[in-house]
Amino acid sequence: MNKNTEQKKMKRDFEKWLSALKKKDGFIHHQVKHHNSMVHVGYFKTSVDPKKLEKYILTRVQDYLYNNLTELKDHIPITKTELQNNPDTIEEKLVNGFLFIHMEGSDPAYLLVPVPLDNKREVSTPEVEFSVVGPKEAFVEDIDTNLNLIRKRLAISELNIQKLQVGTVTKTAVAVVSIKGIADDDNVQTVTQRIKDMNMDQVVDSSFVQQTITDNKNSPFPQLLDTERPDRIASILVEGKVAIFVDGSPHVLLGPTTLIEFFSAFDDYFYNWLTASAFRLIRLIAVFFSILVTPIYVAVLTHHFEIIPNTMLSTLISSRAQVPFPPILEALLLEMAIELLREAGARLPTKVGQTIGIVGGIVIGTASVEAGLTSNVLLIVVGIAALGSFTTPVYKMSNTIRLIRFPLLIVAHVYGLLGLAIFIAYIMVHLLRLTSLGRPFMEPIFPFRIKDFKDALIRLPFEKQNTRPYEVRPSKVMRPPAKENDQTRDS
Amino acid sequence: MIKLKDKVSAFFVFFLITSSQVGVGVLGFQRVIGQYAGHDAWIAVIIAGIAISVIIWIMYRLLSHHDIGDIVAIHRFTYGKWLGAIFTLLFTAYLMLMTAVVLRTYVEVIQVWMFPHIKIWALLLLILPLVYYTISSEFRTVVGVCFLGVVYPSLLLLTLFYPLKYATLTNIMPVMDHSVTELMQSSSLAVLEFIGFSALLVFYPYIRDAVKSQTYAHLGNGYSLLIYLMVSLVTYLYYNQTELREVIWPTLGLWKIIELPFFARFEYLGIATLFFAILPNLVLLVWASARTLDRTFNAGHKRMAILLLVILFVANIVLTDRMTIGVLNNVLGNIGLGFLFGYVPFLFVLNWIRRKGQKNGP
Amino acid sequence: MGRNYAVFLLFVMISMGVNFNMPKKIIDQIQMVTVAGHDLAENGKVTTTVVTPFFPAESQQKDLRYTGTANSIYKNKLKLNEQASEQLLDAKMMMSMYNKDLAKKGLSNYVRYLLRDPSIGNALYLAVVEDSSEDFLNTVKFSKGVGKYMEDLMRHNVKHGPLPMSNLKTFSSGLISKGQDPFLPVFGLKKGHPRVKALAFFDEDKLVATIPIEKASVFKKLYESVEDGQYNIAASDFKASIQNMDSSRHINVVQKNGQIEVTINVQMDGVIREFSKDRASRYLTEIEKKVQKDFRKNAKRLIDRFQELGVDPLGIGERAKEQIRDVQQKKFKDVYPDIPITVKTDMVLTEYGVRN
Repeated sequence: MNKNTEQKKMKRDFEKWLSALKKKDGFIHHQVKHHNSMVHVGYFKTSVDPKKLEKYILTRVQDYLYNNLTELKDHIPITKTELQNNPDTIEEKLVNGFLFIHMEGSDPAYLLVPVPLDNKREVSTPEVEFSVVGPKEAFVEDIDTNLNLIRKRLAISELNIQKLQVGTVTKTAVAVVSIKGIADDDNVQTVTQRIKDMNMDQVVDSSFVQQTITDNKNSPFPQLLDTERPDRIASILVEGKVAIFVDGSPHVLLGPTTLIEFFSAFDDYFYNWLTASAFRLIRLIAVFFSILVTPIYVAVLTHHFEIIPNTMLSTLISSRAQVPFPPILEALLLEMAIELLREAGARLPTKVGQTIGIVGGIVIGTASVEAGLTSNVLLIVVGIAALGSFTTPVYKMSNTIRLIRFPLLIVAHVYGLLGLAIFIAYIMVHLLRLTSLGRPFMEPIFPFRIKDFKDALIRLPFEKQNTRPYEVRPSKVMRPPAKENDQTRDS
Repeated sequence: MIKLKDKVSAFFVFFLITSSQVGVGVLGFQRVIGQYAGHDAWIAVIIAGIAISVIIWIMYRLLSHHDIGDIVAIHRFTYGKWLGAIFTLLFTAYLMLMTAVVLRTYVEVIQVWMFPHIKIWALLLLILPLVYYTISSEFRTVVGVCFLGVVYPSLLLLTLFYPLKYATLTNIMPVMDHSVTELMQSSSLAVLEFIGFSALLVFYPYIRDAVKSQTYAHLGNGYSLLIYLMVSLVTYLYYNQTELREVIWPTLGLWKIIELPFFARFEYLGIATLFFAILPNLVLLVWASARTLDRTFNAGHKRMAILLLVILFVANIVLTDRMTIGVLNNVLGNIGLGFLFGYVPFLFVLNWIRRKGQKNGP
Repeated sequence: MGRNYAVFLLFVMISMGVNFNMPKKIIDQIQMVTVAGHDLAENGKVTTTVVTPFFPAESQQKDLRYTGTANSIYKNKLKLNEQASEQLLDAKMMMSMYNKDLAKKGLSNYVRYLLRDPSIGNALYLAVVEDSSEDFLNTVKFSKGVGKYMEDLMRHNVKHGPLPMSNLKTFSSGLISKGQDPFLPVFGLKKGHPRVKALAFFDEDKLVATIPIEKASVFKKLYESVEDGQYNIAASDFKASIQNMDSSRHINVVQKNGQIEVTINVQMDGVIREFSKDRASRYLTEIEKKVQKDFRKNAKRLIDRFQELGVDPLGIGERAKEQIRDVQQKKFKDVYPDIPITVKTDMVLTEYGVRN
């Protein structure tokens, strides 16, 4: 009798709870009569995998023989099921892809089975850091997939993965990855400490972490490298650096890094060292060119017409003959136009973006020259400068490069070449002061380390790359000889 | 005590010495030193460079005997607290005078060659914060500026080849046409170009393995010597002596002849590029001044830096005409000569006596 | 930290703001003088003609000419500015011309005017004009502008022709130096076309003599080492032209018993370009000998003339200073006319084209 009233009370409680749930959007409830008792199955339609539900749960609940949920649990081939008596915490789990099975008269009364919908993006080709040769895998949003991509490449026991959680609301998983015995413990310590110290409610992308743990937050220069290429991460981990994976972000952060590293594309390692070095040098020259060429144009045409050689003089003046603005306005106008085109291209879908690029480039360019708003020499200059800035492999750095052109333009207008020199000196001092995880950012240029030049301005052949960059203070400086390395890989 | 982390390796002494020696002087020293020795003044440059090397040797002997071997400690040890502070102050004033002259001479070049209508005080508002930005950081940043201030302007040496098209060997012939006295007189003027390295007395404790860095100091001095030698030789080949007497900035004159397909008239680019050689001068000297003051009065490095920059700012506005700048250059030259060849050996001897006294005493 | 940034920004703003209105030289808001011509006018005044290009539309160029007379160059410039639509600036001047009368009175002031201005380059060409530079500049018309035309004319004649290297730098060092006298090319008009006519020699800064341009190639080989020269000879039995002529010369000054003796050694080699007989290869030694003889004769005549006039464009005074230690340059000038100067030559014909 006593047992009976208790069961009735439970039934009432359950029905009350169920009716509350039923009011929620997407909640589905099945009722099956099994032997003498009713079995209830409930879940949210959007968060469970329908195939698994069909195959492993519903059929078994109907066809198998069991007397209570503990017996049913043994029939279901899914791990991490939970049994419990109290319905209070269930709703939270339902949202995360669980379903509950309730059997009247069973003890415990609830069985929770995880059948989450697996809606991960498949590993695809890199889009930002595309390369013609070499691996074609890029990170995805899911942190476990990403870590798996690294584990595949570094199947060694020394791989050290530290999982942390950041974001008081989002509770994002963050993993700090390094190789034990190679990476400097100080670096790993700094990274973990800084991540632990983060005090934010939301972390939805790795750039949130990047901006929070960076050494100097008031710098336009990114001080942590981000990449979407697992091969690059693997290679740099072997050099002794530290990688930071953030759940939900296909970009993985790397540190400590140097200025030069931002201008080395990972392709450089897939080509012969001569070709690679030549391309890297061209890229560096392109960067300098793209920063300086428009400001120099403004400086020279505004203040120092003396330095134009006689043969170029008439070309330059006659191209400006119809332009009513001073060079600075003309240059700002065109630079703004290019920035607008880039912004518009970035906001629009790929196909439309390309069209906009072509339309903008050709139509606006030609029209503005014909209308006499800009000179065609400047059009060429700005075009090349823009091209140069896009050769930078890391997108965030190429943004910085385009950004610092604007103050340079203005200072060139006021103080000519002298102004340029002063402003570049400012940037120089700023870069000298910058650190990445406490390591100097300008290395190997300053502090000057001739050994680290083997992979800076040029890339020497792999046999010469027998030491790890000193800048990261690796625990083991020498890379192991090739043969030993092979053996460890085989075992 | 300075932490090991803040110290720089001995190798950088090369750049610290060179960058402090090579600066605005490169533009116009050829005429000044040629006053006595004429076309043989390039020999005077060599003599001056070697003499400076001797002084560097003496400084290292002097500095290596103290734990925090800088001039403040040496003064305090040699003269006692109060007298030492006064001598240190004088030394700081000497450094600051040097800074003011360097900055004012460079600004003058800008005024004459680039922007005759420029408001100097406004330009200084752009340059001096840069100096503060550098020295308010660690010493490492100062060294970095010195390093790049040697490497990058070294490209300017390439431009010396072009004027050789107009070189006339007869201009420097016959070699050794002047008496030894004339050469010595010219050398004493040439010393002015090298005196910037006095900052060594301050930054010495910031060097790792400081005692071993002496080789680099001599090499740095040698490199400056090489630069001045090359510039003066090309100048004396390019100009004949009567012509040179009329030219105020012969180096800029050398650049005036350069005409390349993509640019002509190198002097405008040259003056701008030279800013990277001037900046280390300013940065190192102001840093050294601020540090000596800070060490003497415990007044805070950054606060002293601001004070000194304000003084520098005012000094540069007060000095207006070329005559005063010329006079100041001469005065500085004499003080520098007296300091390096009079005071430093004197201090060395006195310090040695005091040390001996302390050792033999109780 | 925030306060520092604010102060820094404030400084930069003030700095930029104050100097923002500093006078600028925007390339199309100035008028660049490409050629300036100076003529002697009455009462010691100077007439200055300047040519400045203007660009009516893209890739079109025309020359504007302004003329004015005043008693100093700068005053004249101010006067010309009264006529010009934009500020006239000298920095890109390609050639500065002086007429013969002015050159005879002395060019020192005019050259120093150019040297004092930091904006004027040292590679500027100087030239003497036969009659009036005003007429000269008004007559010459060229689609690229007079300045470019004159510069190109001068440059190729220096590089491959008979003109020795001469520009503001060489002229001013010749002028200021004590052991050397300067020289300049002379331009004239022939049927409205400019041409190099002669070479003018200066005593200090005053024009004293000219030699026709045909003789200039001899002077050039005596004055400097030549990389691409020519030589024409009309001997009694044949005519020959030599091209691609490399020459190097050395001046030796020796003092024997108080008597200064000068030897000029000229070594030449070249290629036969034109020969009035057939089979040049058979006559090589003969041509070599005749050319050397002819060269020595012309050189001697030229040097005798220099000594007569007391001008020293070859810089023998400088050489004397170099090779004899205690030579007093003033004294040298006095003995210069009587010094024996001998010219020695050596010549090899290396090639004779693709036909023998």
